[in-house]
Amino acid sequence: MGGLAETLGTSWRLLWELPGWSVIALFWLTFVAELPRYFLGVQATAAMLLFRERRRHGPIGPLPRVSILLAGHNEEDAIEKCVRSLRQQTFNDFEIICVDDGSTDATFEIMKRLRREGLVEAAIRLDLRGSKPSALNLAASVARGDVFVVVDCDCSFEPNAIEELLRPLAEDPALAGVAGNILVRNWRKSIVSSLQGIEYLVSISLGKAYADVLGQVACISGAFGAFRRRPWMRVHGMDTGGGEDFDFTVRLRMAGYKVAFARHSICYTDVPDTLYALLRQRHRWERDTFWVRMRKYKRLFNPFRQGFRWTETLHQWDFVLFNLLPTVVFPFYVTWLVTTYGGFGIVLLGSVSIFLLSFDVLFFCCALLVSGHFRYWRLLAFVPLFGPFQSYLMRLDRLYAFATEWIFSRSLRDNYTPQKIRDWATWK
Amino acid sequence: MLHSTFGNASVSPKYSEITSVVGKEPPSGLELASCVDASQAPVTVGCFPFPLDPAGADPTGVDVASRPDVLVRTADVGINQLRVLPSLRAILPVIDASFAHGAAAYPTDELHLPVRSREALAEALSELRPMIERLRTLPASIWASTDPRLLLLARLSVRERPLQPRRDPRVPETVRFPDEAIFPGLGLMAERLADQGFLRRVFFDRLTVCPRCASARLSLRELCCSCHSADLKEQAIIHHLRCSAQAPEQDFRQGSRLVCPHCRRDLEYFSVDYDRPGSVLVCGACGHASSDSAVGYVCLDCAAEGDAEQTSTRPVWSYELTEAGRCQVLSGFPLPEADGRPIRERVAAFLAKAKTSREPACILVARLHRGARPARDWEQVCGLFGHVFAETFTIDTETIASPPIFLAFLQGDSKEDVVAELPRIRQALESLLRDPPEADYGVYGLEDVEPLLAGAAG
Ligand SMILES: [Zn+2]
Ligand SMILES: [Zn+2]
Ligand SMILES: [Zn+2]
Repeated sequence: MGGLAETLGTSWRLLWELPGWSVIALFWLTFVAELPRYFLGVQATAAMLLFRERRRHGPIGPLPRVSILLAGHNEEDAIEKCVRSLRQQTFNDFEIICVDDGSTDATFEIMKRLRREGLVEAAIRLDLRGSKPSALNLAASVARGDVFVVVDCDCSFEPNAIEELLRPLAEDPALAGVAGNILVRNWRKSIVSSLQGIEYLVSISLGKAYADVLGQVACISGAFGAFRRRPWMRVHGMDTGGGEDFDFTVRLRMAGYKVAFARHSICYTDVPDTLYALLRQRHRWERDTFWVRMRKYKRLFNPFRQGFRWTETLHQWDFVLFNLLPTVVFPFYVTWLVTTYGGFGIVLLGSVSIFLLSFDVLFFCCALLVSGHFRYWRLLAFVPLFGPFQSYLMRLDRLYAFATEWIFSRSLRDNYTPQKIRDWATWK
Repeated sequence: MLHSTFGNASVSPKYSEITSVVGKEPPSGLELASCVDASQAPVTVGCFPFPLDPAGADPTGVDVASRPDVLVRTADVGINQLRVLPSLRAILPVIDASFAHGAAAYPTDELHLPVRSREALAEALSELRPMIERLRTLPASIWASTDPRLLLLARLSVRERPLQPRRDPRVPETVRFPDEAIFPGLGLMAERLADQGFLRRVFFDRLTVCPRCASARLSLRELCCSCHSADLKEQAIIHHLRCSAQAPEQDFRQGSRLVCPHCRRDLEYFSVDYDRPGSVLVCGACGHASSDSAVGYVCLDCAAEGDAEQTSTRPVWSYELTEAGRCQVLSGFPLPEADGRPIRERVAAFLAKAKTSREPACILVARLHRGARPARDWEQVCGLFGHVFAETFTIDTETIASPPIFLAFLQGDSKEDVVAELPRIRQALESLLRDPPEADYGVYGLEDVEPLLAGAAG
């Protein structure tokens, strides 16, 4: 005990004796990457709370016909519950188009039964399994609505989720797409899912609300979002190759369309509850993100390209500065700190974590306020773990994903690779 | 009466027995031959059309003793036009020698002569010999009977065959019993005999029938599940692998080429450029596309249309003679009255009985509502309900199951008592059913029975 106190005391004195530039050198990652992230987040929350839109209630204005597109592979356990809960929605003047993408279980039989019951307008069976984006494209090609709502079979919804999701479209004719708010349903299952519960609250409920204020919603999740038909068709629907929802949103934005985030439209999803499953899932997501941003839309970085849009360049640079760069540099930084300062370096990292914890708590509370779902307050107990979880574990996983994508998949993602091979990767 | 010898080697002399003819003389070429075979009694043949009574005054005047063993049709005349005893019409085998319309014209005939020759007739007679032997053992009371039920049993017994329906697209039911030509209302009669245990039902087929007119002449076809048009066309789904565009073929088709509606590229090589992972039915009327379809019927008789699930089904049985039925025929005793009397009669009988006994009495009526139940489910529910209904009351309580109506004749209970007990009865009934149907219950006192009678008749 005494030894630890002594080390802390020495560290403290050492810190004060360092010249100013070296303090910056010590903490540059915090200053460059973490503080702005926290700072901006708090700003965002403040903005949300200050300029909180006067939430509109009551029925939404006149809407063109709405089609819900449901694509599933081996979803016999989820599909019926999903359809029935959609039919219980406060807004349910929509058709549901189901596509069974090569299931080997009873999914299609259930879809047919739901069709006979009149709960579903069309049930389409594909004998060969394709990919989720191509299944959604098929659903869109036979749908008769002018607004498409895309949902995942295994999501559940707040009773007014669809109404709230469509509200922005009803109010703003210029909007091409709306992202719904996604929360974690199985947040009590394990520590891993609790931590993701915090993550979803912070990065979606709060993060997207903030991005929305800035007009920077970069991804309408394929799990829950709404699109108008015309833009959908104009950008030729979803593309395969991973990260299709993000890719699709970027194409919409590049075509000049506005997208928004509807934070009152809430759906719940199950997240991986074991660390291994989580790391696998994220590995795939991060690779897809990296591929779409750094390869497919590399040209967006260039401010001199034709049809330059600063909004697109902004979210790309945002990704590089606050995501890619810290991820790549972080291990070197930690190594450098520990080799240079020894035990003092570890104390330093620890105190930074403690310092950031106060931000995490503040941040979490803001997210809670913004989401309005106060029952997640119990997650507060896990907030101290959240910082290290994000900074170390997730960051390492991301680094590994970026590296593998960078090194190995140049040829695999190549446009001349038969798409068939790629498609298999995109269903879970 | 003609006698001639039969020397033909092709016919075994044992069976070419000879014959006395009652009535009209056979046409030339069919002279009935008599071959003396001491071991066999000669067969008497009646050729018709004939006045069996030569004077033609009394059509049924032929006495049973002089009845023929076989009837030979020599002209195009239906058996129902014969003025003979009902028993002769019902039991005697008929050989068709009219050469009028072929085998289809007289489906009840046992045999049709292929050529007009003595040999053919002799062969036919020898074939019918076992049947003739059997009919000769029938008791005299059968020949004198006019009860069509008894005669039907005798007919089946003599022929040793079941009562077999045949498909016939000319009638709305699409099946009918050939024997109906002799026994009008045969279907109902057979059902009652089966209820009484004289016939045994053997499953023949199940018919899908029009819910409006009960005709089985329905046309079933796939319909668009959105607008119920039958104008459906199956189309392949095309998946452009390169850009993941996926849509029905019509979206890709440009003349003889396939062009991707998204990326405008030509699709050339199947399974390299594109796949056909499935198919959809596209409606020509409203454009709706789905892999599955509704099935709809249209009734060819009453033009009713609807969803195939709304049709009812009806079992069709063939009927075998039971041991009880055979005994009844051999004894020749009159058949007991069936309990398949119409509800009306049974209600009237109960009424009469209750009036004489001077006990309080009433009738409990349950009427089930089908709602949206599919036919099979509905039949099951009715069957189950009938079972439970019968068991709810004391063993000597007479109940009738005539779905969707069920009646219980309650002797010794006043209407008021039963009305008071009704919730309990109802609960007892419904607690035994997993998925109880919606039902109305009514209790009718003796004074209410008149309107009920009117209702049951209607
Ligand atoms: Zn149609
Ligand atoms: Zn294409
Ligand atoms: Zn009809």
